Amino acid sequence: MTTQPIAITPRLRARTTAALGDERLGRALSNAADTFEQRRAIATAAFVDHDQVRNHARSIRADVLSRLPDLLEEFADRVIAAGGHVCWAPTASDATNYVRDVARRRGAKRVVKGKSMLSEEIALNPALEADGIEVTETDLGEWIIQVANETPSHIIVPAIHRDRGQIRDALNKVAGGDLTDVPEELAAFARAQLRAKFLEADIGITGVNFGVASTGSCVLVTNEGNGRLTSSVPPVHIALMGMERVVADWDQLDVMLALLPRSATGQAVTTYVSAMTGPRKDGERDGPDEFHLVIVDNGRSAVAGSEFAEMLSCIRCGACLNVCPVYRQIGGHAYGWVYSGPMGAVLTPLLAQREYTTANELANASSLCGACWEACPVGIPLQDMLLAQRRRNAADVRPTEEAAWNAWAATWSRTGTYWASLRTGNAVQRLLGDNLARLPGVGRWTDGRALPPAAEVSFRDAWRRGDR
Amino acid sequence: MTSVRETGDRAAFLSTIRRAIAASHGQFTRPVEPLVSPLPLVEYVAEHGTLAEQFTTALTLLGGVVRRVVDGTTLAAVVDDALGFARRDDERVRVVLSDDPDCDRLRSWLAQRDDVEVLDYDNAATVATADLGITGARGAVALTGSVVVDAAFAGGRTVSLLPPVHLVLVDAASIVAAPGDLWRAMRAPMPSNLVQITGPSRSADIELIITLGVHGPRALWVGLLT
Amino acid sequence: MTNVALFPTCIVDAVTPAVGFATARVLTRRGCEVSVAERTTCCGQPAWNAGQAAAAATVARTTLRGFEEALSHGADAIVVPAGSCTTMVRVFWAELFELVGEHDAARRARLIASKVYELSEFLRTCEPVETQPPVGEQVRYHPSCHMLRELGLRDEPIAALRGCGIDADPGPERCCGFGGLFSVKLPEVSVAMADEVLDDAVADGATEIVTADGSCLMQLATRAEKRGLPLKFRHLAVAIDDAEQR
Repeated sequence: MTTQPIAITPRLRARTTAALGDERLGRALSNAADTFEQRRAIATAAFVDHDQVRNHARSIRADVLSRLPDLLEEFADRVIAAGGHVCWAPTASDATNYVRDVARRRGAKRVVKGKSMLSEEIALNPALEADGIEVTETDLGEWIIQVANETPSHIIVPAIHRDRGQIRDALNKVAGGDLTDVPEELAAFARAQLRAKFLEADIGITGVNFGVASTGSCVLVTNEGNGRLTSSVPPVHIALMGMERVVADWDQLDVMLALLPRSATGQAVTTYVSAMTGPRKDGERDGPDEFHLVIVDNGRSAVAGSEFAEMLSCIRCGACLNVCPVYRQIGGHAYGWVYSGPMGAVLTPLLAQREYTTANELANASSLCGACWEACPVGIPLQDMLLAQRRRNAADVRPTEEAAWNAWAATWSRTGTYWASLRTGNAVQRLLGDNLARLPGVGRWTDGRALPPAAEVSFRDAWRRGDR
Repeated sequence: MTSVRETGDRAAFLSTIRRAIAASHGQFTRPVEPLVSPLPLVEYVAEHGTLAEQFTTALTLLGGVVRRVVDGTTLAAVVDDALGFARRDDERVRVVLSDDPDCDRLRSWLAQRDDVEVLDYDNAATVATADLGITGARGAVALTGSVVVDAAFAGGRTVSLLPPVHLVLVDAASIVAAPGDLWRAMRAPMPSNLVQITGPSRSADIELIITLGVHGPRALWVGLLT
Repeated sequence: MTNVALFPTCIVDAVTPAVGFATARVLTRRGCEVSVAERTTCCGQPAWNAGQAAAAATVARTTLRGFEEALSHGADAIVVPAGSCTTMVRVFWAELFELVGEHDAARRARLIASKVYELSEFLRTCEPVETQPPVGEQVRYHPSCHMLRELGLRDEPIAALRGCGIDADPGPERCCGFGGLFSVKLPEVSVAMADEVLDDAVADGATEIVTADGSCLMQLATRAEKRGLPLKFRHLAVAIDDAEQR
C-alpha cells in the first residue's frame, strides 16, 4: 500500500516550530495571555450574572445578523442625514479605491490611522503608499510594528513580541539612535512624533467597533486617545467598518460595551468611548468637515450564508487568544494573516482564500480543548467551527487518508475484528489500525514522547477469561 | 433611496446579504436563546457609598484626581491646583476653555490672572499649544468613574483631548450608577461627537507596562460640583 | 443493587487494561453488579476529531447498539472511565448522526445519553464507601478539557480522590496537548503544551499526576518518560482502587 504523509501543514508547522524556538516570545505571550485572562476573570466577576450577559450578547449578535440588511440600511440613512458620506464596498478593492478617491479629491498627502484590523485585511496601507501618500499608524503598538516593518502578533497588544530593548531598537530608526529603553521615555517620544503627524494629517482613518443603527453613530473604544485624535483633528475622517459590526440600538450597545473591554483587557471600560455621528456641526471649532463611512463586505456575506455564520458575531476582543493553549505557544505570526488565535483559525480560511491559499490548514492549529468557546463573550462555538472546517477539509483530503479512516472504521465497527485488532502490534497500530499507523506522520509521536506500552492481553480478552 | 453622499450600489450590496441569509441553514450548532426585548439593564454587583463616593473611588483608582467643589472658594482652589500641576515652564500657563456653560464662571477670573494666558478656542492647532484644557460634562458614571463630554455643549472635541492636562467640571447630580443608564438614554439627534472619558490616556503596548498620556491627556482632574 | 455496564474505551482495551479492572473493582465495592458492554467497540471520537464524520458514524453506530443491548439486558447505567469518550457519546453523538443523515440513530443517542456516566460522576451517585483517613498521599489532579468544558465536571474527580484519602490538588485548567491527531500533526506544539503542564506540576512540588482521561495520561506520561522527569502517573480509577485495597 502506498504511503503518503498525513495531509497537513508543512507551512503552518514550519511557522509554529520557528515560534517555539523563540523562548523570549514564548515568555512574552504567556505573560500577556495570563495577565489578560486573570484580569478578565476579575472584571467579569463584577456582573451579577455573567452567563446571562453573555447569553444576551449572543442573542443580540444573532438578532443583528438575521436582520443585517435592514439595520445597515437604517444605519446608512442616518449617517447620511447627519451629513456623512457612505460607501458600499463589496470587495477589498472597492474599499481601498474609495479611500484613494477621497484622498485624490482632497489632494491628501498625509494620512494618520487608528488601529483597524479591517484596514489590514483589505491591504489599505500599501494601496495608499503606492499613490505617494504617507500613512502613519498612531496606536503605539501599531506604530512600533509599522516602523519595524512587521505584522501584529496579538489583536490587543500588537507589539507584544518585542521587549523594551527591541522597541527602542525599532524606534531608534526614527530617533536617530538616542533613545533609552525606559517605557515612559519611549512613550513620550511616540507622543511627540505622532502629535505632529496628527496636526499635519489631511485624512484620519479609523475602524469602527460598533455602528449603532438607531442613531447613525460610529462607536470607537480606545485607551490611548489616538482614535479620538485621528477622528477629530484632520479635516477628513474615514471610518472603515466590517458590515457585521452594527447593533440595532443603544440598549444592545450597552451589553456589548459591558463585555468588550472586560473580555479584552479586563478593564471595566476603556479610557475613551467615542460616539461619532456625521461630521462637525456648524459652529463647532474642530472636528472633520467630511465624514465617510465605508461599509465592507469582502467575503462576509458568503460567511453569513454558511454554517460559519456565527463567526460574524465576533467583536474582536481577543479573549480566545488569551486562553488558547496553542496560541500561547506560537503567537500571532504563526497564523499567517491578519487574525490569529482561534478566531483567526476559523476566519482566515473564510476570508483570505486569495491571500493565503492553504489557509485550511489552520483548522489543525487546535487541540479542540474548548477554552475559546468558554471565554468568548458572545458565545461563538469556535471549537465546533474548527471541527466543521476539518470536515470540509476531509472532503479534499488525499484519498489515502480517507481510505485509511474507512478501513479503520470497518475494523472497529465489528466486535470480532475490533477484538482481534487489540491483540497484535504496538499501541499505535492497535489504536489506529495498520493503514493509519503506516502513514509516516504518525512516527512523529516518538520524536518527543516515549511509545506507550501495548497491553500483553487486551482488556476484553482478560475479562472474558475471568480476570477481575 | 440614494444620495449625492452615497457611493456604490446599496441595493446590490444588501441583496447579496439577503440571498445569503435566505440560503443559510439558519441554525446554530448550539441553540441561541431568543432575544429579550427590551433588554434588561446589565446588572453589576452592588458597591457601597453614594454615587459621588463610588465615582470618586473608581476614578481615583485609575489615577484621576477628584475634588469636591461646593462654592467659589473651592472652585478657585481646584483650578489653582490644576494650573500649578499643568504649568510646564516659567512662562504663563496656557489655558483653553470649552463652550460648556460651567466654564463661563471661570473666564473672567482666569483672564485677570497674570500667570495665565487664556487661549481662544478657535481651532485644534491652537488648542494643541495649551497646557490645560477645561471643559464641563454632560454626565458621569459612578461604577466606572467616567465623565461624558458632548461636542454640542463643548463647542468641539479637542479641549478635552489635546492639552496634557484636562480639568472637567461635573455636576454631582448628573452622576448615574452604571454606563447603561447613560447609553440607554441616548436619542437622536446625536451630537457630532460624544465621548465617555475614564481617567488619563493610557497604553500597555510596551511589555504591558502602563504609560500615561501617550496621546490623550496624561492627567484628568475632576471638579465635582456639589 | 445497581447493574452497571462498563464501557472500557479503546485506550483501556489496547493500552491500559488495568484501568478497566480498577474501574470494575471500584464499582463492585460500592455494591454494583458490573458487566462489560460486550458488543461495544469505540465511541468514534478519533475519526470525529479528524473531520471524518462518516467513519466516525460507522463505528459509533455499533457502540450505540452495544449500549442499547446492555441497557435492555438490565443495566441501569453505563459507566465510562474517560471524560472524552463520555463527551463524545453524550454531547456529540446526536450531532454526528444528524450530520450523516441518520436521524433515528440521533434520536436513539439522545435517549441513552442520560444513562451514560463518566466514572467520578457516577461515583457521586453511589453510597460512599467509608471515607478513608488521609493515606498521606498527595497528587496533582490534571483536569482534562472535555471533563471541564463539555461535561462540567470539576469537583467530582477531586471528591472521589479525597473520599479515599488522597489529597488531590487541581492543576491549572490547561490542555495537555493531546487533541487526537493534533499530537502528530503539530507534534512540536503538542509537546510544548505537555511540557507546560509537566513543568507547572514539578514547580508546584508534585510527584504524581492523576487524571480521568487515558488520552491525557498517555500524552503526559510518555513525554515525562522521554524527559526523565520524576513523576508518577495513574488513572483516577487506579488511584482510587489502590487506596481502597490498602
